[in-house]
Amino acid sequence: MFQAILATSPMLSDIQAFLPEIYLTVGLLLVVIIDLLPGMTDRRIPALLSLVGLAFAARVLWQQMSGEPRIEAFGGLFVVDRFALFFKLFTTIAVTVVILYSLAWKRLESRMGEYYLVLMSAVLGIFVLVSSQHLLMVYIGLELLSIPSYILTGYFKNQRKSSEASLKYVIYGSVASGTMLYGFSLLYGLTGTLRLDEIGPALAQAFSESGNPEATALAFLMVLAGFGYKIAAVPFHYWLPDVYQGAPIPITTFLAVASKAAGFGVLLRYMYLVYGAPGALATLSDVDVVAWVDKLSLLIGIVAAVTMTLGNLAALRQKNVVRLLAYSSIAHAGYLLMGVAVIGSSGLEAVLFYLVAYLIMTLGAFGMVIYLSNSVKSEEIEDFRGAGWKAPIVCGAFVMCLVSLVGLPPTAGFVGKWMLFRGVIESGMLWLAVVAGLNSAISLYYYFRVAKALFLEKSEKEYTLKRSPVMAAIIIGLSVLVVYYGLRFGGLIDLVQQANLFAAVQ
Amino acid sequence: MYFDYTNVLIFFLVGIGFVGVNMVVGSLLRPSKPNPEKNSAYECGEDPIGPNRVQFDIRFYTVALIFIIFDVEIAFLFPWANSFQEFKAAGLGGLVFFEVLVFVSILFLGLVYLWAKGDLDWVKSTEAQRRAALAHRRAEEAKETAADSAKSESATELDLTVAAEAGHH
Repeated sequence: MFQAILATSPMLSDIQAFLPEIYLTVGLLLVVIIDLLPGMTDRRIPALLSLVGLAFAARVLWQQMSGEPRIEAFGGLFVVDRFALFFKLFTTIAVTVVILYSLAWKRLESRMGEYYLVLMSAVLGIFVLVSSQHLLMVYIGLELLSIPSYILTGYFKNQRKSSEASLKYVIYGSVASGTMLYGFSLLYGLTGTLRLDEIGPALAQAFSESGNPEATALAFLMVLAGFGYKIAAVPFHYWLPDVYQGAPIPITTFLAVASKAAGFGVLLRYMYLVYGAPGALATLSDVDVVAWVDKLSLLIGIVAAVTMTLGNLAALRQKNVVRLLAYSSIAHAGYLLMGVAVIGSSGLEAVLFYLVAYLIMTLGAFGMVIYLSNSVKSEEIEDFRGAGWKAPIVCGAFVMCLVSLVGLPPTAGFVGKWMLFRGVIESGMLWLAVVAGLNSAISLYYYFRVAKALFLEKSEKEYTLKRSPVMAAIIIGLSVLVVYYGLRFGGLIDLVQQANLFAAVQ
Repeated sequence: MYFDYTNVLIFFLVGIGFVGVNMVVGSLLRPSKPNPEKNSAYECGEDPIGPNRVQFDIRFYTVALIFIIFDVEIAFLFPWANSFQEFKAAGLGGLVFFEVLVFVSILFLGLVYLWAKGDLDWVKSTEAQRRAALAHRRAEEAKETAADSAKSESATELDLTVAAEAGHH
């Protein structure tokens, strides 16, 4: 009914494109109101409201998915296309699982209204970010995602580690976003517009007329710093291990999955609109421009190689499983950047596919950490010794997720990696594929160290694992999905092809 | 060319050079007769009072943050008021008025939230904190009697210490 009213006025059709965000906002406000009402102390109520808000949003997203392929709203500031919808549905699924994890994790008890309120604002930030087609909207989205992330990281106010992580995150984040804003202002100076879809052609025109590679490169690097911090690519990754370890584990899961994917979403859209779209730089046949775009792609390739190598090497020495997963998430950002380095259709599809695989297996891995840490009250690998035989099915499912994180068949991680490798080899960066292959071999060691601790080592102290049917069901379900998409990946590839920005133009 | 890099570079170098040269010339020319009076920090000719790194009450920040609610409200209401007549002429007056009501009530909700959480009281409501801690403790006790349940979280402990401190005041 609401939609019927909205459809009556052309001005309101913009709001219709914005409906998922409005539902999220309403859910968020309800969480605030419930938090104020006396007697509403049950910690499940705000979680439930958030889930309802997400469900309403998901319903509209689903309708939009089968509606028009591309809607521009608010004068082109905001765009709803398959690419944005892909990331929004991705986020919805990730956050739903994160909320379930938050309910299951025993250490979250007080101030739950605040927690979900802030979490939902971060989700709203992601929704805005992946739909924005204007540099100011990108900035607003990024801040709307970042500020709640800082708060959530420091959620345990009384824990030193948590507060320290939060402070590091704030300082690092503000410097990165400041640098990015400077990059935006340079882009504006070069092109005279803030709309991403106009920047590409304007930049190409400026480039072919006067050639100003230095300023363009500087602008690009500065913007990359902002996005690089969000996805934790290597020179901008210092915050990540501390933040992941200091934050509540469900929030770590959120940062590792949803926030990172959003960073990739906006990076891909930016790369596409500014460099790859029709009329933008990569489409010019000018020799200088081709050489310049090649250099750009080489630069991202180098960042990718360094990111994955550093992530994997640092993960080798970790004793804490959350820290291990943190470095592994840096390594995975490196793998994903391989697809970004290929400024083209196959790279983009590979990134999207790998993101889905990454979503499933990372959720599974963090789910297991929550499951075990509820019982052993620790996240050290040595404390998990021998847990495998206490809950063989769940731990087996977890090992399946680890197999996928390594990238071995028959898992979704393997298919995703294969697509990424194919993309970089096709675009002539064989060296990058070799580096990534070596990295996968390294990662085998530390992932299986966890598996070994679970199944092949004996615990020194006696403990019992607390049963948690919901968590077990989620982890087993995720591992089944990992294997399913490793064997029958056709449907997922169709979805990814629909979300391909490059395909949408033709 | 959009930027004339050479100009920028020259400007930069001259800027650095100007400061450097003046400092060198000054140090060569001036007599060096330091005394404690001269070496002390300059505070408008007054005697300096204490170190300059004073502890600044964090509550000022809270007040500043609360002020943002009203600040943002006004910043958005002005353009709205400015274009309201046009919307009214187009027959959308009721709707646009409704929209701004939604906006204002969301901000108002923020104010209510702050009020309820005790952030409007200058002494960040040790009273409210004590009440919250008490409620929390009761909930804890109820839980303990109900089942074994893992507890002894640092959050709980600190809440209780806060309550104890509040009791001292």
